[in-house]
Amino acid sequence: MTESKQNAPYWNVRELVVIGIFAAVIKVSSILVALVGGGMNPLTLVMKNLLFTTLLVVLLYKLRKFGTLTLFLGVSALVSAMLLGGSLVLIPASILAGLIAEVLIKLLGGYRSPAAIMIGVAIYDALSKLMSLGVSWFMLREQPKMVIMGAVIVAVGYCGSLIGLFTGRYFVKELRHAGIIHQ
Amino acid sequence: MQVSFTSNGPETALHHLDVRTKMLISAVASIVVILLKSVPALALLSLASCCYLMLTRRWRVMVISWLVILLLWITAVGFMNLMHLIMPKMGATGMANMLIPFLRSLVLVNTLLAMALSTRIQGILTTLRSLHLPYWLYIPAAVMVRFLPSLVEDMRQIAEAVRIKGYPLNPAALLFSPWQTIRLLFVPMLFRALRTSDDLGIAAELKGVGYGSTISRFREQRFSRFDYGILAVSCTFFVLSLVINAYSKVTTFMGM
Amino acid sequence: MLKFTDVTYTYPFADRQAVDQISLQADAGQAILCTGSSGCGKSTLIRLANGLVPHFFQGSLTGKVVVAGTDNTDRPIHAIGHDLGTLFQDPEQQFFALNVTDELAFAHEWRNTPPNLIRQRIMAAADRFGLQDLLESSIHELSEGQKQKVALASIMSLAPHILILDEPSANLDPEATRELALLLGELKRSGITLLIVDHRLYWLRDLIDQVLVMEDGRIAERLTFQQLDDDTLRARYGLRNTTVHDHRNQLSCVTSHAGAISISGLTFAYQGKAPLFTDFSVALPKGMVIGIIGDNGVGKTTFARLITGLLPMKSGTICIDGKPVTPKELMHRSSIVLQNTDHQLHMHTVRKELEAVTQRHVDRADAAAVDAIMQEFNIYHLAERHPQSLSGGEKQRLVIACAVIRQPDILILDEPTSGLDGANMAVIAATITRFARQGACVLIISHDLELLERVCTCRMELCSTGLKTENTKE
Repeated sequence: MTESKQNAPYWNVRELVVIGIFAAVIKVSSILVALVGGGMNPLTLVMKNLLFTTLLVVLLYKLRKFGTLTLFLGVSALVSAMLLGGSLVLIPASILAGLIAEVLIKLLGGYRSPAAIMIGVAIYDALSKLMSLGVSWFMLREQPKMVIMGAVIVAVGYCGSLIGLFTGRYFVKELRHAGIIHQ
Repeated sequence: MQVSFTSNGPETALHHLDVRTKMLISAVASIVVILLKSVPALALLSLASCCYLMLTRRWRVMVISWLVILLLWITAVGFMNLMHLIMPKMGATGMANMLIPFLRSLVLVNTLLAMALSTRIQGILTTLRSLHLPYWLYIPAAVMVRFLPSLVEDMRQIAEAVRIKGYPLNPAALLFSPWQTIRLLFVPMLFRALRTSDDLGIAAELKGVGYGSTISRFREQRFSRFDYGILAVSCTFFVLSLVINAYSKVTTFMGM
Repeated sequence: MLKFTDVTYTYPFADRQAVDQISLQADAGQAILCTGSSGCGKSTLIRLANGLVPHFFQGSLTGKVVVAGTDNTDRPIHAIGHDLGTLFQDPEQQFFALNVTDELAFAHEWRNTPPNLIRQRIMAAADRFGLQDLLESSIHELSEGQKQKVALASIMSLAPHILILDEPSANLDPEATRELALLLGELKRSGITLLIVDHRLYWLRDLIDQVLVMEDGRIAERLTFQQLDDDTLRARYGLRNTTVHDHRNQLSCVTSHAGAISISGLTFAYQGKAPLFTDFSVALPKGMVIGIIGDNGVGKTTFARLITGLLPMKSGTICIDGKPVTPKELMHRSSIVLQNTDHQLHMHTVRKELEAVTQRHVDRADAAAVDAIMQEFNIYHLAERHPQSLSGGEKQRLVIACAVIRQPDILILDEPTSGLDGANMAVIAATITRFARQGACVLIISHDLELLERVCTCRMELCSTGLKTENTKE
């Protein structure tokens, strides 16, 4: 091979494609859940978060590299803002939460450790929800009691995220059985 | 709410607006509304944003969105009053205090909806290219935008295949057989995604994506006079609302 | 131009060689066909030629692959791409853009070609491949043949010397296949080296200089196309026919048979579009295999969805054996096998996939029935495998097995043999015929002339005005 490993970019194009596809799948999945579940209700809230976290866990198993989570979040937030009307204000908060989670994963043993991935994703979910509550507070600061409603919604969603950690592990095992992901 | 990337509505003035203009308006609006505390200032901005949204001429979506916001506002008012009844120590809620958060939401929803309803997915891809993003951000973002419509179609076919096998797809199925429903919908989607990413990764390698130090741009996007005009009008309203906010006090609106 | 010398390769995590001692040579202006049954190593041959092996797939490689005078291991994939282009079976999955012009421009942008030169090359490619009217079209609006032309134009605008085509005819109708053959002939005459991997053989007769038949990773035969006419030889290697007759118009019309399934007054239109069916009536016979034919966009797949209850009719009734059926009953008594097998597989193992169907429709998992159907479709040895790990032919057999095990009154198959080798196609053809003889009404939507020739006993031809019969005037 002629390419020097020293000159090779940190991200190769395959990895970037995987991140893009997963970002699209996660977005489409949440739309599907809303359609099947009949709009915004506790059930769809749990399911959306469950699917999000499940796919995130699968992504981190597929691409075991520092920066995957942060890049995924940045891409997802950018496209959501442009296309689907997502909040631009949440982009820096989301990326910060992702970075913190990735540092934690690295400290806990890196991407080779399943426990580190699960803890890291759990922390990311918690941080991002707290940050979105923080942004809500700015919007609702004249009526802080309304943040209680937001907190309840976030808590319900987080239950889905926690379940998603385990369903993510389950599907990784299935992908191994299918020969798509290797040990 | 119609998904924006299936924006199939009639071509309107907003469709000719550069996506970057619309993004800028949304971004500035989301910061300005946080700074505003005055009802008149927010009311002015809400009115302006409603007029901005009306340029899309998607009346049904507009009315539904506003009704949803109204419903949420009424629910919140009811909820706050109920909490006051149960816990009088929490204190009564002024109408103005209830109105401000919802006017903020109205402005945000209007600006984001205007962007979502008037932006074709092709325009997003062109805009992404014109932002001169580093390749490690551009490639996944472009892939995400490119494959959103394809995955929506895949999802439709997967749902169809589930129905063919005789499984229901409704809220009851999600409630009483959540694991089965997730499996039926999610497993094909996951494998499809992984296959697509492999195929596309191969195609990208073969096309030399990500290996050039510079890339040329076949289509260049430029702001038009219409873009500058809308930006100027938007800035005017933002500045005006900030000025009104600076000289207003927070007042009780309906005397509650 | 393209030379393999004693190439042997094993994929990572694999316990056997994918190809073994492969040697071949293709000069400028030559066209080579590589064919063989599923799993023989054809796809690996492509990957070796375009450099995906070893740069993308890694694994263990011995021997030499030389493209335009340079060993593939001495340069990266994108450099090989300057000399060699690859056209895959599903072009849409490899498009990066959403419209045709941007897709044609894409690879040039990444090579930092100046914009005015990109424009020239796009216009030249559009002229060469007849895409002038499609330049501002969305890729989602294109037919399969058009998508393939766009992919081909995109590759050829980069001026490679060698073109590899992976199952190029798999998704094409006969007319588009003929057009493709003409296009490839032109490219060959202009000096391009062609390496074509395909199961369908008939359309290549006038194009191919040499045929390589692969088996178990080795080149088992090196032939001329005429030598491939040998029926015994083709049967030995599980190949399709070299001559196929288009006898669609010779099939008797469905109206000349007594109909047990009657559709009356069917009216349907997609929202905002012109009606596809207006007061449409037809009676479908049981015990026969009916080929649904018609131009693209005339409503073949929509008809299939309507008579299985997947789409609601605006008006109309459907009766089975004289009794009207509701859409819900219809879904229970019919089965449709869609084109994309990946969308139809949900369970952890092949066995569970079939058991889930029997549980759903028979209220119990019938282990004996599941075993029997797996034997019939030659997937018994795959029972504990994950459905998504199967090959294309195995998946196709599985989804059809899932449909057949339900014992539906109406069975519809949409392109059931697309991309399948001769042996798999024969298994599916035999099953379809057997199932029809058991008394079901089987409808097939397919461009596979060979399959239609084998199994169809009558036709239902749709046109813009409805059902085309012998009496319908042009």
